[in-house]
Amino acid sequence: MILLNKYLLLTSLLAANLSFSQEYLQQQFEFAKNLYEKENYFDAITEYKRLKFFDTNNTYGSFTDEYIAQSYKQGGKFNEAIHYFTLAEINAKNSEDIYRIKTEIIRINILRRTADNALNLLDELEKDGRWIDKKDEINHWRGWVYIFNDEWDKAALEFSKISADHELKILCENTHKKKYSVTFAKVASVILPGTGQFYTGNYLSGLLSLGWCALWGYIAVDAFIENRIFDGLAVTNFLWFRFYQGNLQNAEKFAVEKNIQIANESLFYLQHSYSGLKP
Amino acid sequence: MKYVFTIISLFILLSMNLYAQSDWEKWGKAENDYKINENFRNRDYSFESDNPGKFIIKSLVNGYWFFISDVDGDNCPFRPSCSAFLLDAAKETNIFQGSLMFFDRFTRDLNIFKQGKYPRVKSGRYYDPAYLYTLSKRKIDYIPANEIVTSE
Amino acid sequence: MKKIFLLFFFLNSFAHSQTSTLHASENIRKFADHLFSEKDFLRSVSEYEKLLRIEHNDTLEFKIALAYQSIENNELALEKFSGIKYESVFYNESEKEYYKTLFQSGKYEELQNNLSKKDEKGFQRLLYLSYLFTSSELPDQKNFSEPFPLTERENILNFYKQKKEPPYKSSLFSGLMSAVLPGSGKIYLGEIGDGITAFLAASLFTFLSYDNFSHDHNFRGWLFAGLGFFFYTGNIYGSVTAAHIYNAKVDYEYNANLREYLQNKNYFLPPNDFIK
Repeated sequence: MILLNKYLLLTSLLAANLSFSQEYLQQQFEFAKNLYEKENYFDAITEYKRLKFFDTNNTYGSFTDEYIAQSYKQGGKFNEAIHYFTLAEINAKNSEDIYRIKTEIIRINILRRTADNALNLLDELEKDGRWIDKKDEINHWRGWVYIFNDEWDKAALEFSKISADHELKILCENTHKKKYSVTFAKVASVILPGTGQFYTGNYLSGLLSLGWCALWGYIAVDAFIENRIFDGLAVTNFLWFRFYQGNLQNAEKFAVEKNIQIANESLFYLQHSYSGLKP
Repeated sequence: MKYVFTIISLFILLSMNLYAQSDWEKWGKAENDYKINENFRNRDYSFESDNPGKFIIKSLVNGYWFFISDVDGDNCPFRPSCSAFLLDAAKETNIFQGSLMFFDRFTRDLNIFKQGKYPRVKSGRYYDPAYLYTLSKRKIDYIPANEIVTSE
Repeated sequence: MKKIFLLFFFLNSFAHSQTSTLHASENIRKFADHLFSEKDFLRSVSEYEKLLRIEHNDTLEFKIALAYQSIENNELALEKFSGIKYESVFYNESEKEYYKTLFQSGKYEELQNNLSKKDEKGFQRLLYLSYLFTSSELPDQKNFSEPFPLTERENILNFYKQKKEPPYKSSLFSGLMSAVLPGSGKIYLGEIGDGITAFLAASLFTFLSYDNFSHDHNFRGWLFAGLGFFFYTGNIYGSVTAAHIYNAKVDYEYNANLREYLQNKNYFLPPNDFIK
């Protein structure tokens, strides 16, 4: 009986030691989390690394790596963030954690505009039988990949798979409709110089293109009619063709610039006013 | 599968040294902007009025930009473009010297074998600023050929 | 007796577990060493500095200095290296690293002022090497390579000769050549494409001017003559400036090659045990 009591005393004191060290790890975790919540990300990473170093039993393994990765993400250091999310995935204990971390990696790929990586990861998630019930979320992120890749029509299609009147589907469709067709602008300018610029609203540039092409075209034709072949060729090659090519370049440039402005308006709304799940 | 994880984790641990370099300076929260970069070239059509010579040159260049350069496309393989080079050259020196620098630049532009001789800007054009040609050796900040100039 | 011993043992371990927090000195040190080995130098510096507030320690001062040197914060590295006292076991090493940092940060004149009185071979090497980066007078060729290992003397002498007689091109000669024959000055500098283009441009406008004058087109004649004049004088001017740029390129390549060579040799200083 006395021996049993001694063993009990010994065990309970040893357990007390262990629970103290666990308590310090927990305190450290809370301290680091507090720094993270105060947006002091650099120092938060230091404290999470300290926790990771002393957590020899890997109790906090995956969480530490995740928080380090989130801190790097907040600092815009996406390569480092992916590195630590990958570590977190290796140490993850259950499929819910793995899924959450995989979507974090996808979100970072969206933010740094590496669409191919993000789409490959989403395809892998979709094929994996463990997350059949996450189809809507996968389509949601696929839509975001297309948004960041400036493919608003494809994004609208992905959001329509979630629901027919999804807010982002309507936004993407409207953005796509507002955009100018670069091909149409170029083809219009091929047929009649200046029309591509008129289409995009750059009337002065269109008029100047039309004017120069008309002037040099008239001079070149006049030269050919008067049998001044060399003059005609010189004017055609060095003057008319230069302004004609410039007209095509401008038609494309203005259409692309306008489209970027339209896309940025929508992206600004999504970043600052949209309240749903964002990268 | 177990070995795959071991190999991956070993690789990640070994590559950790590479990522430490980004933390060699303290950083704070970054605003992760969703917007696409708007790298539109906006010309400065203002007039230099402190000097009649510069005023004349700026007027001529503004006229050239408005009526010709903005219409015939972005053809100059150099940055700054030849017209902008003329302006910079006149600012750095005077009209006459600036004109000589411009004609030298134009000759170099006509050279069809100029690949591999100049550093480049991000868009791929050749970086050839006016301060290299002012006859002042102190101003020459040599950049090797084909090096990407990130500040432009 | 056994009971007293057991009681003492458990009370001690109890107390020990209470004070062994993650922020205790020995744990800060372990973590700092880990960060240092992972090359997370800035974080390791802040950890070492926490320890220095508790107790002064030369090893920590030296490691902090090395960390700053590694992240190329040369000002702080120099400050820390110079703070290590003469009595310290790290004094000799820190002196070497101090001068190495001065060298790396390009403060050659300060280096020369300090090292001119030192006899040790390592310092002599740094002193002589610093002359290769400044415009001050070079020491005698015979003595220059002496402090260096036998296997490296040929390389050092090559750099010495190149510094003494750099392969510059004359801007005056280049300009004169282009005045005599448009484009030849640029060809002299190795710019064959530019030279031929300059020759063709000047010749073309000169011909066009002559042709128009001979056909009594005076306005066009003067126009092409003016353009030809500017292309011709522009080419002379361009040949002179091209020579300046050529010489700047010679200096740039010399410095880059020498710097790379010295980095590979660790500036002829023994490698540091802490950073390998």
